[in-house]
Amino acid sequence: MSCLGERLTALVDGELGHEERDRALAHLARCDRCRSEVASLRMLKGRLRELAEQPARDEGAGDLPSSDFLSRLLSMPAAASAASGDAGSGDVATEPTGGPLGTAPTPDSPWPPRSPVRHARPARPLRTSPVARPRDTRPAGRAVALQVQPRRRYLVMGAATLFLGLGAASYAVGGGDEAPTISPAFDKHAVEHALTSGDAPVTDPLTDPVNQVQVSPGP
Amino acid sequence: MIARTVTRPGRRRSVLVCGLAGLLALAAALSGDPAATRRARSDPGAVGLLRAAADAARRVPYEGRRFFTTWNRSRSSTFSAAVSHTPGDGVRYGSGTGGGIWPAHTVQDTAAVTRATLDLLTRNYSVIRAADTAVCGRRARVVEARREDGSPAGRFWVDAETGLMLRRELIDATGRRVVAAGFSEISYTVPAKEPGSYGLGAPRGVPPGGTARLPGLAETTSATGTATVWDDRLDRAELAGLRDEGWPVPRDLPGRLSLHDARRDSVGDTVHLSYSDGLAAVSVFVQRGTLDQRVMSGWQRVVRHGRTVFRRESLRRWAVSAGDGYVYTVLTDAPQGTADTVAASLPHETTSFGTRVSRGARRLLSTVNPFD
Repeated sequence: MSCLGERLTALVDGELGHEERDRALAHLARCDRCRSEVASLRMLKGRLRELAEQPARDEGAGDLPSSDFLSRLLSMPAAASAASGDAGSGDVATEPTGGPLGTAPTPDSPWPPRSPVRHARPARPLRTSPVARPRDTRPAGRAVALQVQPRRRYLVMGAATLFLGLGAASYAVGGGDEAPTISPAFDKHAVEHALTSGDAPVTDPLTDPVNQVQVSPGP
Repeated sequence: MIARTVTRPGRRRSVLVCGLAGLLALAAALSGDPAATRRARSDPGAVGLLRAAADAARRVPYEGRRFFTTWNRSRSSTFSAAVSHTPGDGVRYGSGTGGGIWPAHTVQDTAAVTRATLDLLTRNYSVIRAADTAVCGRRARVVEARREDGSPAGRFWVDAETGLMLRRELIDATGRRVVAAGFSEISYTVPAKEPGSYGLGAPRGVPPGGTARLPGLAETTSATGTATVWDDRLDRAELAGLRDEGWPVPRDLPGRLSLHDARRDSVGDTVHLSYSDGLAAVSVFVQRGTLDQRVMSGWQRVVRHGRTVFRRESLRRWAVSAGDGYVYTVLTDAPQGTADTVAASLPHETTSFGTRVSRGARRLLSTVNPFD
C-alpha cells in the first residue's frame, strides 16, 4: 500500500501545492516503495507521451491511437481515483495507478494483482458527470471532448425541433382541400344514367331541380 | 373376409373418382377464369335472345308507351311516357307522366342490355329460358337470370316475333320486385314522320318548349331536343391517366359490380362511371371538389361505415358522399341499400400523411415566397 496514496499521482502530474510537494518529496527520500512507484509512473507517462508524439513523424503509425485518445488515457488515473474515491474508500485510493494500460504490478507491489473484473472498471469513470469530477487540470483533449458533445447535442436538438415544427405546421396547413365547393348537377346525372342504362331519360321528381322550374309546353 | 373382398374394389373406384374430380377442379382452378365454369351454366339460347334484343332495339320501328317503376318497402314510383322509334333517328319521347316531367325530345338508340353488361350478366348469374308468356298482348320469350342459389334475380321478356325487349325486372333476394321497366303498350307501325302535335313525335328541329331554356340541361339536351350520352368515352389508357392524377376510379364495387363504361362530360369536370353486375345499373358520378351541404337539404343523412352519406329514394335511388377532395353521386335502380353501400365504399381520406405535409409545405412556401 502506497503511503502517499492519491498525492503520489498528483505529485507525478505536478498538481501538488508548494508545501505538499515538499512534504511528498521528503517522504520519497526515505520511502523506497513510493520512490519506485513514482519512477514507474513517470516512466509510463513518458512512454505515453512518446506515443502521442510519434504519429506526427512516423509514417507507419497507422495502428497507433490518435493523440486525442492518448491524452484522454493520460488523464485517466485521476478520474479512476476519483471514482474509487466516490466508491467509498475515502481519501486513500486503492488503485492510484489504475488505468486501462495498467502497469504490471512490481514484484514488491503491496497490492495484489488485479482481478479480470477490475479491468472493466476504468471504463466507468469516463461517464462520471462533470460535477462529480474532482479538481481537474488535465490535458485539454478531455475537455475538448466533453465540450463537443453538448454542442452537437444542442445542434441535433435544434435541427429536430425545427424539423418537427415545420412538419407540424405543414400538416396543419395542408389539412384543407384545394378543391372548390360544388353541388352535383343531379338533373344531368339522372339523364346520363338513364341513357347509359337504356331507360327513358326521366329526371327524378324529388331530386331534380328542373321540376322546380315551371316548364311551359312548347308550341 | 367376404365383406372385405366386396368393399375393396368399391373403395378403389371411389378413390379413382375422387382423384379425377380433384384433377378436374385443379384444371378449372388453373385455367384461371372461374367465370368460365359459371358461364357454362347459362343457356346459350337465352343469352342469344338478349344479344339479339340489343340489335332489335336499333332495328325495329315501333311506337307505344314505356314505363319505369321502382318499388321500395312502402310505396312504388312510376314514370311513363309515350315513345316512338324510327330506325336511324333515335327514340322520341313524349312528355311523361308520373315521374319527371320531361319535354318531348329524342334520344339515341340505347339498349338496357349491351355487350358489356351481357358479359357481366353471364359471369354473375346463370341465364336460362323460362316458360313463354304474353306481354302487351304479344307472345314473349322469358329469360331469367338466376343467382347461385337458384332464386331469380332478374327477368326479361323478349318479343318472340321481333326480338325486341318488351319488359325487364329486377328481383331482390327476398323475392320482391325492385324495378320494372318496359312497354305498357306497343305497336309495330312505322311512326308518322311529321306529326303535328306536341308530345308523341314532336317535330324534330324545332326546339321543344322549355328544354333549351332550362339551366343545366344544355349538356344532355341540345337545342334540337336531343338527349345524348356524354361523348367523351374514356378508354383504358385515359382511365389509367385519371387514376394517376388521383381520381378514384375503382374497378369493382361491393356487390359484384364491375366498371364497364366511363365517360366524361364536355366540360371535363365530371366523370361518369357505369357499374353493373349484369342486371342492376349503378352510376357513379365523380366530381372534384367538396360537397356543398346546403344543397343537400331534404336528403336523409345517414352514417355508413363511419362516413356520412346523403341518401334519397325517389324514382331512382340516390346516395351522395364526399371525401378527400371528391364528391360522389351514386345513382341506381337497384335497392337503396346498394346505393348507400356503394357511396360509403368509395375512397375517402386517401390523403396520406406525406401528401398532406407536402401540400402544407407548398402552401407555407408560397406564403413566404416573395417571388410568388
